[in-house]
Formats: sequence, structure tokens, C-alpha cells
Amino acid sequence: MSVVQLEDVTKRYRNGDGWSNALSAVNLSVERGSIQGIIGFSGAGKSTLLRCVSRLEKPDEGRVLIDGADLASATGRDLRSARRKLGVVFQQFHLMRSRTVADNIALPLEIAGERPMHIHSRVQDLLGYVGLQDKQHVYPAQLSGGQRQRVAIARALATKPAVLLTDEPTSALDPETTASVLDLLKRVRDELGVTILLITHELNAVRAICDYVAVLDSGCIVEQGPVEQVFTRPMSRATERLLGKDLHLSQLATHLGKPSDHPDSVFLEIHFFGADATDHILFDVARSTDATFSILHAQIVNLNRLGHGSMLVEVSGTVSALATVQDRLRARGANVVIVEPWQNAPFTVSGHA
Amino acid sequence: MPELLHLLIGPTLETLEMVITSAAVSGLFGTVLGVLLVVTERGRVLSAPWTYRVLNTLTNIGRSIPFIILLVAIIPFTRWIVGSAIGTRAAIVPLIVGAIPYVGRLVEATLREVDNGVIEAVLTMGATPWQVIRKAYLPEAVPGIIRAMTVVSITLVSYSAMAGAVGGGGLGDLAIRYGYQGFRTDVMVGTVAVLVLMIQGMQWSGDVFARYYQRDTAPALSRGRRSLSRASRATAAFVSAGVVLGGLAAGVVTLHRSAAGPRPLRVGVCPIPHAEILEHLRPMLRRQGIELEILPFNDYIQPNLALSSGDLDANFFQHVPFMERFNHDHGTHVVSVARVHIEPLGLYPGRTRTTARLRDGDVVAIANDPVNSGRGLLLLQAAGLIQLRTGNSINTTVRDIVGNPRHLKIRELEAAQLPRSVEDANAAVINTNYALAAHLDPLKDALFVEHSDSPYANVLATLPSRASEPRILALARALQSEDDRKFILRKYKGAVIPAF
Ligand SMILES: Nc1ncnc2c1ncn2[C@@H]1O[C@H](COP(=O)(O)OP(=O)(O)O)[C@@H](O)[C@H]1O
Ligand SMILES: [Mg+2]
Repeated sequence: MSVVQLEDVTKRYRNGDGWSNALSAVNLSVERGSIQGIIGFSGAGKSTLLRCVSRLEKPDEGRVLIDGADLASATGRDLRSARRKLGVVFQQFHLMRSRTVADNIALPLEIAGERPMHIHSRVQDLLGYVGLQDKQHVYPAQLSGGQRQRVAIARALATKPAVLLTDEPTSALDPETTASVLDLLKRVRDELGVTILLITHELNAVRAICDYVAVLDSGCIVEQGPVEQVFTRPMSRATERLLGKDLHLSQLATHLGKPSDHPDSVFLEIHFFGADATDHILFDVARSTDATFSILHAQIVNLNRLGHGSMLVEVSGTVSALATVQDRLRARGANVVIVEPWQNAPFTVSGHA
Repeated sequence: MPELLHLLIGPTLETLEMVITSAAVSGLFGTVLGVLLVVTERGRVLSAPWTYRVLNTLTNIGRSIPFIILLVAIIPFTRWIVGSAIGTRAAIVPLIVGAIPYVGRLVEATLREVDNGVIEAVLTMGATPWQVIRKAYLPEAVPGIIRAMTVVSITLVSYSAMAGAVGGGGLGDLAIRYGYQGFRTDVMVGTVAVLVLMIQGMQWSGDVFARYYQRDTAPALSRGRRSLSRASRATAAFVSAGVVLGGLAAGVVTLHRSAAGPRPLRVGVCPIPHAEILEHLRPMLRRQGIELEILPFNDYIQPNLALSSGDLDANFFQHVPFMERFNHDHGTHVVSVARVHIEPLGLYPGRTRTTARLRDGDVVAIANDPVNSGRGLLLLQAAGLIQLRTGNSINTTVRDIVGNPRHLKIRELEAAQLPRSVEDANAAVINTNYALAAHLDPLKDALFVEHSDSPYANVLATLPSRASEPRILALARALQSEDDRKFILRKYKGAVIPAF
């Protein structure tokens, strides 16, 4: 059963004379114990979505079900107790600067009216969990960005919420710190079973820890599903743009242009997944055909638990040789795309069923 | 020097009592107001647009009333709260009322600076509006509130200088009475020195505490800076504790004074010579079981109004013609109980050193209040300088001048201002109390002095209903005693003459 369920959630904002939809009829269900990514360009409505889930904004239409209870219509005491099932982590941390690290983590417990003895032991456990025991009497101003975000995560976990909502938790951090914070989030899910909603504009964050991803564009979810599926077989322009922007392969092909001395050559963009990513598929295929290969660009990224290799290759040969190359690559599990750099479209998808 | 210290101690404690009490109380109410001005705004945690609009308007009104007007306007309220509209504690009430909207605005501005993200984070924890205020807004704003209260306390020090208008005393009043009106430069300098020390101390401890609660020491610097700030924090705590204890002590002394035995007899006076005469009589009256509370006033209006409203038991500052005119103008019923002394009015030299040398077009300054102006004109007539249509009547104005052979120009000024302005005129008619305060000797310096059978004897005055009270009668007897006669003659050497 899904722990978070959004049904036709719509949010409008005043925009000059009229109204504009920050969210239009968003439907999403988040499976218990999963890490659900929500990705989109800036202004797509990601933060608005998260603010509707935490009820910092009231949706104009639709329902926000947390464990089956509708948060969108809740008020007063009901809203406050429903909110305790959620932990929220913000890009800018939003820690209280007048409280020490330990007291910041204690705050949600104080608000929930816990007894001091219980608060103390819970705070010590959380400090140990995020590895900041030695910093407990220090004020947030004296911490690095990564340490602050760890405090914020510990604070969000204090009341043992079922769901952790995180809005760009790593966007204010450097790459190394980003990795350690993402790692911590993954541990939170693996060890504590907390469902996580990760909002981000960074593909790498989604690749690193998400099980599922939803792509948000102009207030609409344009695509959703398992991360491998969405990122390897994009079905929408928005996803393509996100991926293309990340891989730079089509731009690279466009820059190189069509080589004039090889009228029969094509640019192929090839994606491998899993253990094969490091295998020698390309060389096996090259040896078994007449076509000549020249590798223009290659990279391997870590996509969740799987490796993801991508290459831009120029292949020259007869028409039938080119067809054989593509068939054999696909037979080995690769995803093959012909890049046509002379066209205006930056990224052309073909060849998947 | 010991005399100066003695003069400064009382008013310093009074100022501390006024500032500390009013800062504490207005800090409390003002913070509540500031919080409400933030949280009731539309879209905030206690969104209540109408409440917000009402509070906002009231605050603006409060902020726009000049303090000296407020002081007078809320007299009934003051009386209801502390039981009297004069004295140090009565001055505290308008100080508080005036400071609350000020504190409110400063606290509001500070709370608006609190990161809204922090407020939202606390809301997502399931906090109630009250928890948001107590756990987030207030703690995050502590450094700002400390800075605001530092500004307010310092402002209150200068506002408390106006407390003299209601007999509240304090350093500002001391500076005005002795320094400005009394030409006591040492008192003026001493007062300013104490005020500078007080304000420096407040600003400095405010800064230290605000910095301590700021909590944003950079890690690299923290060690060195922390140990330094611990030392200054300790000193700041010491200074603040001293200031607070001093204020409390002053408060306790006031309370003690009002709690012990029957209420003292409250008499409103002019500082010189009336206050000095009463001080001399204090031991004699104490032996009869009568405790005096002597309240000096800077003006001639408040002592009669305070008497009529019951805040004073008697006053001793005026002569009968003034009293009758005041009763007529203000509908009061003040009566004389005992004639005490005459302060003969004198004509003092300015640019011209003798009466004979006054010539065509010379300027002679006299007081501008109706009674003293008429009295001054009568003196000029007695000196043979002018002639009045009204003869010896006390109801005389400059328009009644029928003979002015030397074409003197008569300039009317505020009585208290005359000693200062005499240098700019050819001569001036000055009341003896102001002349004495300015170190003019009526016997040696005056060109011409009022006759000793003048109708302008200063009297002990009270309300008809109290005129036969034993304590008032005892005070009247003391004022007309042989002991008092000897004191007046010895102390004032003829500048003040017994009139009994
Ligand atoms: N409080 C607001 N008032 C008006 N418009 C808003 C408000 N918050 C967000 N928007 C608009 O809604 C859209 C989505 O914003 P946001 O959810 O912050 O995007 P993202 O987090 O994906 O960058 C943007 O066009 C933004 O301008
Ligand atoms: Mg955003």
C-alpha cells in the first residue's frame, strides 16, 4: 500500500492579472519503504508539490493522503498530529541558530510534549546515527553545510516519522558532501524503513539513491516509473532534455558535424546497463562485422545499484553492416540511438519498443 | 564635593528607578504587542487581519503623541494605577505608556527578521501557534530584542528628564533646577557625567549580551574570542546586576517610605527658598510625629492642580494675588493658611548700572505671567520710572502705562528666564527666588527693591476642607515659629523677609 498518495492535486498562484497553475492535477503514489525521486527543471513546481504534501500550502483541489488520512482538508489538532508523521528537510537547512545541535534535534520532541528523559536519550541516539556526537553542544553557525544538513535530517527523524520529505537537500552542498548526505538518506531508508520523497534538479542524486522517479514539468507529472526505465527509455521531451543536458552527447555530435569523407557513417549513442557496462561488447561486435568504429566519447555513471555506460561512436560501413551492428548491440542488451547531428532537434530517440 | 555627591545620589536612584521599572514593564507589554503585530498579520500563524489593523493603528497613535503631552493627558489613569499623579512613581506610568508602542515596533521589526524558513520548519513539526511564538520567534529574536531594549532604556533616560514636570525628580530634573535655573555649573557637569556613565554602561552591557546570544561566532575565531567575551560577559552581568539592584533598592526605599506609619504630609514647593525652609523645619515636625514629603516643582501651575486633585496636602510657593487669580482662571478653591515670607521683587542692572542712567528707548525686562507682570509694573512705578492709570491696583498690564517720561521699552519674558536675559536688557525686574538661584544678592545688587509691606507674601495654601486639619495647622505653626523667623533672617540675610 502506498504511504503517500496524491490525487489530482492542483495549486494556483496569482500571476499578474490572472492565475497560473503551479501544479495541475498531480497524481502520485509513493510505495512504503521506497525512495521516490521527483525531478524537474527550476520552476517546474517541485517545491510547491512538497509544500502541498507538508501542508505549508493548502492545495486548491485534490487530496493528499498520508497513511490514508487526507492532509489537504485537515485543520487544527488533526493537522498537527498528521504532520508528526512527516519529517521535512530543506535545502537551506532552516536550523534554529539560538539552539545547539542537540537542542535543535530535541525541538520536535519538545513540541510533541515528550518527557525530558526520553528526549535526552532519543537525541543521543540520533546524534550517534548521523555521526555528530562530538558537535552536540555547538551552534549551527559553527558547522559546515554538510554537518548542518545532517543535523536537519536527525531533527526530521526525531519523532520517528513514516515519511521524510526532502527539498533539494544537497543543492547547497559541494559534490563530496552531497555524496555523504545521499548516503545517509539511503541508510535511513535501508535501516529505519522510512519512506523518502527526494526532490531535486540533479540527475545524479536520483541515480544514486532513488528507486522510482517522477518527472515534473510545468506543474504536470509527465513521466514516472522505476529509475532505470525512465532514464534509459525516456518517453517525454522533459526527460530527454534533463538527460541530454546531463550527457551532452547530442551537443557533442552536433559540434563534430557529419564527416564528409565517410558518406555512409552514422553517429550512434549507445547505453549499457548492469555488469555489461564494463564488458567488451563493443569490441566483440566490431570484430564480427566489416564496419569501422571510432569512439568519440565514453563515460560510465553509477545508476542506482547498476552501472550505466554511455558512448558516442561513429560507425562507417555499408548499409547492411550498419544494420547488423545495431542488431547485435541490441541483442547484447544495449540501448542504441542514432544521433543525427545535422538536424535541429538536439536529441532523437529511436529503436525501442 | 561631598555636597555635590549628596545632591547627586537621590536623583540618580530616582532616575534608575524610573528607567528600570519602566523599561521592564514596557519591555513586557511591548514584546507582547510586537509579537501580536507579527503573528496576526494575514497569512501568519495567528492570521487575524482585523486585530492586526486595530493594533497597528493604536500603535501609530501611541507613537505620534509627544511625551510631554502624554504625561499630562493620562493623569487620571496614572492616579488610578499608583494612587497619585505626582512623584517618581507617577512619572513611571507615562514612561511605560509612552514606551510600549515604541518597544512594540522595535520588537516587531526584529521578529520580521527571523527566517521564515525556520518558522515553517517548526510548523511542519506540528507546532501550535503558541509553540511557534515561544519556541521559534522569541528565542531566535533574543539578540534583536536585547538591542531594542537597550535603545529603549537609553531613550527612557532622556524622557525621564521630563519627569520634573510632575515632581518625579531624577537627574534631568536636577540638571534643570540646579544647573540651568540655578547656575550651579558643578551640578550640571556632575549630572551629565553620571548620565554619560549610565548610558555607556547600558549600551555596553546591551552589546555584550546581544553578542553573546547572537550565537554566530565563526569556528576558527571562537576560541580566542570566547574567552575574551566570557570576561566581558561577567563584567556586564556584574554591572547589570548592580544597576538592577540599585533600582530595586530605590524602589524598596520608596515603598518603605510610603508603607511606614501614616502617609507623610505632601507639600509642593519651589526649590528656593520654600524647600529649604521646609527642610529646616523637618526635624521639628518629626518630633511632633509629622513626616514631611517635600516635592519640588519647576512650574507654577502643577502645584495648585495637584493640590486640587488631592495629590498634594498643601503647597507653599505662591502669594495671595497669584492664588486668587489662579482660582479665578482655573475654577479652583485654594485658600491661604499662613503668611510666611516676602521675597521682595527687585530691579536689577543689566547694561545700565544705575536707575538714573536709564534713558530714552532703553529696554526693561519684566515677567510675562499676569501676576508678576503687574507686580513688576508696580515696582517700576514705585521707582518713579513710569506711571499707571490703575494706581496701586494689582490688576495692571502694560496697557495701563500712562506716563513713561524716558520712553522705556517694557519687554515681558518668562520669569525663570529673566536672570539669563538681564545682560541683554538695560535692566530687569526679577523675582527673588530666581535672583538668589542666579547668585544675585537682592540687598547688594538690586537697584530698587519692593517695599516690605507688599501684599505679595508667600503663603502656605491648601483646600478649604483641609484647612483645619491638625497636621496642616501644625505645619502652619512651625512656619510662623520664632525658630523659622531666625532661620530665614540668618540664611537669606534680608533677601527673604519673614511676613509674620
Ligand atoms: N508563493 C508563490 N506565489 C506565486 N507564485 C509562486 C509561489 N511559489 C511558487 N510560485 C510559482 O510556481 C511555480 C513553481 O515554483 P516552485 O515550486 O518553487 O518550483 P521549483 O521548486 O520546481 O523550482 C513557479 O513558476 C513559481 O514562480
Ligand atoms: Mg524549489
